[in-house]
Amino acid sequence: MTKILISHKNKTYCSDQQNLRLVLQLLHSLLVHRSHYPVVIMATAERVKQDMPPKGGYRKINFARVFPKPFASSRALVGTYIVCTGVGWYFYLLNDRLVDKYQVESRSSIIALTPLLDAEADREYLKQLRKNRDAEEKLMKNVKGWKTGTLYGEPVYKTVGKDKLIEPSLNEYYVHAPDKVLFDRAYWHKYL
Amino acid sequence: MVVTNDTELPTFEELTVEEVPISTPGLRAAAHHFGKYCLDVNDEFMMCKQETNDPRKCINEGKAVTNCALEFFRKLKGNCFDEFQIYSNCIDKSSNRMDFEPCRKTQAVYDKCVFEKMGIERPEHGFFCKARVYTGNRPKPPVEEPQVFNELPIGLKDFKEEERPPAKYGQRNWFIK
Repeated sequence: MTKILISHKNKTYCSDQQNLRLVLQLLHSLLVHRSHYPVVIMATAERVKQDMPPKGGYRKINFARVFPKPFASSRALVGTYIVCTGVGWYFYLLNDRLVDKYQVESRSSIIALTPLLDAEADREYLKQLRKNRDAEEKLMKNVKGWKTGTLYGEPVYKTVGKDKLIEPSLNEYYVHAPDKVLFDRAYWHKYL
Repeated sequence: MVVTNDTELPTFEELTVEEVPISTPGLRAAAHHFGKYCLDVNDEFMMCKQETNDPRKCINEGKAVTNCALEFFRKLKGNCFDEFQIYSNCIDKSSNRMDFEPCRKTQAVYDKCVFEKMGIERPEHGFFCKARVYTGNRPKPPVEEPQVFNELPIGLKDFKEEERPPAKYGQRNWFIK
């Protein structure tokens, strides 16, 4: 019988059961891709030396599972974790206390200043209320039946006494001012 | 606006007093000493605001606060002007929140000067955050009594419990009795 022998890179392959796949691959590369690497030799079986296992057989296949060398014992790892976390917590709490202390000092200064700022702000507020009332009086003096602070004599709040000061809303308070003044007050956080 | 001509508002002359022309870092630098110097006046004003809840009724107290502040800052200017300037400048430029903690050195100098020349000691840490009892001279505000409505709305008959007729279709929760 004849076998297909293929020489490729100084090796000769025979088309027996084991090498059939390789031979087919080489043939494929030869025929389809026109590769010049493999050389096909037709020869008889007698001239071929059969490739056999070495004397004493192949070495055994090592299939045992190999574990990596542990970095430290699990107890040591857990202990290290607990110690690190504890120390971290300790320093975190120390810092937290310090920050609290700073905040208390800052708040204390603000509380001490509140009466001074409030006194000035209250005076300015009352001045502005009077200005607004005067402006409305001047603006609506030609309108017949108009009473300041009411809708043609009908008060906004009926059951509230005259001596009570009702604070106007923002839109009412800034009604004679340019729009920007109201927007700056209403959207003050955009300047932060 | 809600404010009518009947609403009492103080005049501009009553409301115009000399204000404190100091910016935020200066106020913040002097805050603790100012709070201690004007402690009673400030408490009186805040108590008035709390009790009356009306800015018109606390104008005199507010003027007293501003007057006290002016007096304090004039004294400060006369005695410890340089120390105060350096300290407030440090507070202004050391952090973006005007924190106190980067300025402990200048604060120590300022505190020493204020204590020696004006006799005001820096209050303890968090003094103004703590609760204090202040019993001023103000009379106790009257307790607001709840509004009582005597008359029933028009068209509603006032039943007494005995006169109440039985329900037409029986009681809904008949099992309770």
